Amino acid sequence: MSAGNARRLVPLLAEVARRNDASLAIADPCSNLSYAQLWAASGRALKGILALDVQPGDGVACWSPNVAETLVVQLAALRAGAITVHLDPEWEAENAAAALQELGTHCLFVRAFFQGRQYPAMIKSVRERLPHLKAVIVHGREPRFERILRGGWSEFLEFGDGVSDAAARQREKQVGEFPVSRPVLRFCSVAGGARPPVQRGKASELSEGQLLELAAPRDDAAPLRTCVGLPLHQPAALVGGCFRTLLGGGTVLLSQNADALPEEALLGNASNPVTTPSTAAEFRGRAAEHPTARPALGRCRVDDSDGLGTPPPKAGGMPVDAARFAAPRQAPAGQRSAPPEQPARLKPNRP
Amino acid sequence: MKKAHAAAQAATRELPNNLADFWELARAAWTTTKHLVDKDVQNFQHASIDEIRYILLQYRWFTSYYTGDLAILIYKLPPSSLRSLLGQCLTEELGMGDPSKTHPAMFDNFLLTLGVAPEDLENDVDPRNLALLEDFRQKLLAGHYIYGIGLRGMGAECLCQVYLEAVHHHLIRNEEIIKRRKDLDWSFWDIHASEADQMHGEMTRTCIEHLASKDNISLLAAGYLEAEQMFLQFWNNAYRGRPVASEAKRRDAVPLDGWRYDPAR
Repeated sequence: MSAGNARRLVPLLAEVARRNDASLAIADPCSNLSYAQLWAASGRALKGILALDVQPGDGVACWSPNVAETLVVQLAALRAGAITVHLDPEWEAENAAAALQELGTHCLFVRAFFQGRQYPAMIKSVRERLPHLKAVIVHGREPRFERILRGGWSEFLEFGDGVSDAAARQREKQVGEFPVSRPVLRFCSVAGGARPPVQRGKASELSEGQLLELAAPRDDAAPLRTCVGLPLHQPAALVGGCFRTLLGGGTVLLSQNADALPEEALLGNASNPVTTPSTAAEFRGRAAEHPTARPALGRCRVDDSDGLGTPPPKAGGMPVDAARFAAPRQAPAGQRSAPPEQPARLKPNRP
Repeated sequence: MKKAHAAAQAATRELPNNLADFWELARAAWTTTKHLVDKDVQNFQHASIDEIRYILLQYRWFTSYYTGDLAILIYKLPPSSLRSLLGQCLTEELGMGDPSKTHPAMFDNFLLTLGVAPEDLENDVDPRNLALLEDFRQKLLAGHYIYGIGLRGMGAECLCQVYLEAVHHHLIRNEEIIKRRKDLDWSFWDIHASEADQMHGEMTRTCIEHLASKDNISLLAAGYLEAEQMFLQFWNNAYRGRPVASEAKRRDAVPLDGWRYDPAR
């Protein structure tokens, strides 16, 4: 896949998913997703995003450590034509609010809790400053609370089940007709340190074309297995780590421990050393033209310690089965699905 | 001094005789906002690690006694939605079959990752607070179940949650905690300072309305005010630090429920 190619990102990802359907796409401490499961999950999340009335060009934000749901939302947002921004999971609520205000975000996906931080409470504390934020969806709740508390991941997916497959296909077709120069990702600059001051007006954008150029795997490269420990608000993690690996049919191992990563970039399959340093250098070379991709470049590495397909050890998370990402019964094409058994509860959240 | 005054005020307040007045009385204590501006709670943001360890070690005992108190309250309640709900809460408190996931065990794990020595979990308790907890339990055993609902049903599910939310808000901004944050076991806080426990509080309040009537509302209020007073006194003792030797001798209480630290719990 080389620069200047007429391929589009979403059809390319769909093709990769079809070709590698049983292969492991994403592994995080709680779950594994094959390509087929990832594509189905992002399709269901796409419908959820459509049900929230997200229009092409609207902002979808993620504020979470590295978990599978974040990548599911990322793919769904791409398919919906939305622009995604990932917030630094170490930010204070004020930083997040400033970024969300600046970017005019329509909906936000947050983790329930992580290492003592409670993202729903933090967002709640600043919600009244975010009038354009229509919905906050929380994932990662304990199963016994998932059905009791509003605004959860299950509720979001079930709400989207009311959107027909035809409507979802129509949106993807519409997105396919947009120019490749349309922005798909936004990155917020940070000053560094654990509590960066807010950087107003410092968001930078990556278009679909730029993303394809940066993340396209080499034609002869073996599928990557990439351990992504840096948070996904960093371009090297999202673009160089996740997108590049997924576009090549490889496996993304999501880690929440960036400190364990070595300083030097090692992108590629460790059993094929020829590609390793040159791939990294090549990535750096291409990325140098794109300022947004420069920060913290090259801190993704391959972790070859587990065998391919072996689930990573659970880091104390709740056991999760892929059924939570399973596609529901399909409605006949062109018809709106039957209303869910329970009345739709997902409305724009109260502040 | 201010806290002792507030506790005394709580004790002498006129008791409401209808549910609307009762909720009005209780509502003031149920907002996190009030506790967020409490100077002692705010001090969590600036306290030394030793102070944090000591204060939260005292709270460990509040959590420990709650499990037994909840069981006593369930025993006393008539068949009702509240009894069923509290039964569910007790199952969760006891780890749903896994002794390592009881809420006291979760809090102990937090303290251990905070650097509290295992032997200190049992030994470094303020005897004044232990005496308060024992006194509380005796009142729960001896009193009417409606009084018990106010005393323990609401005290824990409603009062405690908002307080812990405020403590967590300031605690997580403490530099010593920030340094250790990724290594601390936050499981207890993930439940008790979160949206999940807020829901428990709301469900408890709904169930109480099915049992309360104009004939027993003053008993409910008396129990609740007693809980509020005890809660303020408990935290006041914790914040003031280790008691002087003479005070310790005067209040020499031993926990009767045989509670001892055990990782299996």
